Amino acid sequence: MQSFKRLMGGLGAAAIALALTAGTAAAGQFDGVTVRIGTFGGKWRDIVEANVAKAFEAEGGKIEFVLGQPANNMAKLIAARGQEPPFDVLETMDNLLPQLAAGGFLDTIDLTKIPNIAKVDKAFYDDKKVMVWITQEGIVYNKAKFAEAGIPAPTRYADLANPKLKGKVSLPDISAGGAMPAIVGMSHEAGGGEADIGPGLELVKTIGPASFWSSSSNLQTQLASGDVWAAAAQAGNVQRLKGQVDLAIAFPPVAGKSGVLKQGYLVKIKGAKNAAAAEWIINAFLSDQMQVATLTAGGQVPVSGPALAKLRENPDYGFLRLSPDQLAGMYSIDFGKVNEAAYVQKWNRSITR
Amino acid sequence: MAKLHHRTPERIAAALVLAVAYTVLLGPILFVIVSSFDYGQRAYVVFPPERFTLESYWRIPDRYWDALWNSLRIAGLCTLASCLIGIPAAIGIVRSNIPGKAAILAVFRAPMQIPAVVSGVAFLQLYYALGAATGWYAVGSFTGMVIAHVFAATPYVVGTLVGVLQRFDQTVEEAALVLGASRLGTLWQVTLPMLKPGIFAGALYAFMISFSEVPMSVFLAGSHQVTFPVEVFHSMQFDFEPTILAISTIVTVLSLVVVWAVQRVVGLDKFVKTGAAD
Repeated sequence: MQSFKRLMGGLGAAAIALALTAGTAAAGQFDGVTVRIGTFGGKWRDIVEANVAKAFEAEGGKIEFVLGQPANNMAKLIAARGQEPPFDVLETMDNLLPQLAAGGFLDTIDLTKIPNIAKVDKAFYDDKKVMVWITQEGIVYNKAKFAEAGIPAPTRYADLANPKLKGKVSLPDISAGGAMPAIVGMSHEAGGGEADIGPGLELVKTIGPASFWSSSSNLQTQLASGDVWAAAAQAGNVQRLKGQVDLAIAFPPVAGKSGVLKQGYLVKIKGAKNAAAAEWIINAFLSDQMQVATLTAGGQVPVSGPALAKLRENPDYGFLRLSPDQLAGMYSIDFGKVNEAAYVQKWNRSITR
Repeated sequence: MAKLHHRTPERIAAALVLAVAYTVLLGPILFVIVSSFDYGQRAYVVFPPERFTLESYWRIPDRYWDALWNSLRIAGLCTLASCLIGIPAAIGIVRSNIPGKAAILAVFRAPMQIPAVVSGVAFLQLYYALGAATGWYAVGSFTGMVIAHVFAATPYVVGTLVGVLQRFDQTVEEAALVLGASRLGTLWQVTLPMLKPGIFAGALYAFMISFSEVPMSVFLAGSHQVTFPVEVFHSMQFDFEPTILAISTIVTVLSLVVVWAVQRVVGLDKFVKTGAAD
């Protein structure tokens, strides 16, 4: 009898558990929904998986990653023109936004479905794009090497032309992600701007860098080995090499501001099957958990107020600009004036040669 | 004694040349293997490691294993398909009297001359156009990836076998026919066994081309069919991970095992004699 009671009790508990599980599954607002995100690979995909995809799965949905650099993913989008797009949401960079808009690829985002947008500065979004991270671009330099050589901390790009730095400076190659902020920053400093990068390219020649870095890992290896003492690059390098090399970042003046922002956005692609799910995912990218992980695990600066406030409390991130006022004081490139193809041609003519 | 003196500088020079050649060929591989035993979550490669550990090996993410499995499946099928296309094509080109053989051979070699990035974009456009016409979308599919890799790999099978066939002693086949063997029997029992080293060489090339292919795969990979080199490429684009060195070491060791297996089955000396490098 005792065994029978135990058996019935067990069955009853199992039935209740099953009912609860079924109830939970039924409550998932995205049961059976798959959303494809065009995004970066490697560690970034892991961060999105842990902080966004898991939460989406809890709602019954599934995220598929279409990996690639934004330019590669844009090529896929162009090839699929007039047909079902290869992804529903695309993570892209500020430089590609004008082309995405001109190509008619951007769908309108219903901002009322993104409650976390209230945590973001109004300048960082509109109904076609939502900024989810930024990088802060300036001059990364090795404090110990500068002190040993008696070189003052740099304040302008032109300081990299110091003869004591000969053979120790690296600038981004035109193909690198950091090329645009560096070229535009140097152009402004030298009297040009987005519409006239000639002075900036002249400054590159004056500096005469020892190398042109093509990827962050390439630059970080050179900084870590001491081959490079200073580079035009983003602040994330300081964080990545913390404990290995004592790096700092300087933000040179650029058109009345200081330092340059490179911005990462999420956009909803026209023809996306699950608009509601796409907006839910954009909202999840702005959650406190994901925004904090953006910096702590990914090395990029978040954009949401609460995440920035929390990170400001951490002295480890003292080298970054994390207050709204500081961010507003950094220069955003006017991509309406940028002609990337012409930049590459000019670069090839005056630098590669 | 004078002869010995004369030889010593030559030997030293030869040894130096050999040392330089081995350093250039094996240096990068050894660098990766040794560095893979470094510790910690570093943003850069440390050589030599500060202390030896297997930490990076334990932390290899599943995505690398998944991508490696994908690559092995794609390269395996690509090798098979390239051989099925390449072997008859090579025999037909060398043995037949059809006009325009040189042009046909040039067509088979064309994929080697087109930059792979251009081929990648072309396949991307083609697959979407095909999808619009038929409703079947090859972009991001296993089949689509295999087809593109076969396009890149088949010229190597054809090129290798054409080289072998042009030096092939046809009197052996004639002897088999005179002694009563059928044409199919001659092909099966005489021609193909004699071509075996060339077929293995072509197959090995096809496998290597497919396994290491990046420029086309970057455009054609979907959410499920990410190949191993593309996964590594994407990771390196975002950030360096020491686990890349660990998984690369494992792939290198696997490759050496394959080379050893080829040596056991065919013999690398025969492989070299096929003129695979032609």
